[in-house]
Amino acid sequence: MTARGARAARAVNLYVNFGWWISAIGLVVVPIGLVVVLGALRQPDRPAPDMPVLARIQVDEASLAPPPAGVVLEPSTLVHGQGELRIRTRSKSAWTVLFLMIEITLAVLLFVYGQLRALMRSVLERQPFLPENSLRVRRVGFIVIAWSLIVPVLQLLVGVAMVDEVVVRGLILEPPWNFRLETLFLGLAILVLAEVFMQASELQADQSLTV
Amino acid sequence: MAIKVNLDLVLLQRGMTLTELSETVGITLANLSVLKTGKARAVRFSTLEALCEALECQPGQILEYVRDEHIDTAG
Repeated sequence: MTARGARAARAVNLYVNFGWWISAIGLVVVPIGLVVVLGALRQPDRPAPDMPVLARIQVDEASLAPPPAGVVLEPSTLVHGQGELRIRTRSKSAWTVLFLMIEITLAVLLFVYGQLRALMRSVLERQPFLPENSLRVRRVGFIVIAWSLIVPVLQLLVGVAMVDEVVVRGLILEPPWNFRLETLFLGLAILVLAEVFMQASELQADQSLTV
Repeated sequence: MAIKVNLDLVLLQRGMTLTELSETVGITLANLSVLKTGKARAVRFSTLEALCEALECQPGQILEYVRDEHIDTAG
């Protein structure tokens, strides 16, 4: 490995370790956060906390109130859009699903960072082409593919639960279907990389078992 | 693998140990162990040449083709 490559590997290793620790701490903190929020929801004198919700927004101009006489309005340029709404809600199920989503995200990140940590350790030991590393990369690929399919469903569930609670005259809110094809293809590309690792580890074994 | 390595037999016939062979041919003991135990995937011609020279034998005395079902797995 060149000096530049070793420096880059050390930097990536540092980032991966940092990510692993943050995910691990988050995994412990998030359930505590859910307990705190659910406790706050039981107290009617306290305002309900804001929940971030992704929604597709459409303007229903026909249902908007007509402008006062003499006022000329420019036609609206907002036909539809998508954004994060902050909805004040006391729905326990919506909060639980949201925290569950964060917990799953952190668990996935912890797993991925764990695999990358082991991979980076072998890279720093200058033995990257091991069969175990091929398995690690493959696991990350499968996780990314599963992630690309599961997250849109979870976001849709939270969105459906929340959008029904909001009625704004003139606005039509719809929970978005946030499936990203790029993430799916990223997962497939990682699986291809795992195959490359497998072939490289075979070559490495051939080389090391040649007398 | 269908290629059997008879290095231990040749060593026994010559009254030589693996350590002595390692010192004579300049191949590490670990690599010779890999060869002797049949774990090697390939043998370089240069290695074979050095072994034949040190053991005063032919390649056929060190390597032998055996059908899979007759391979002695003790090595």
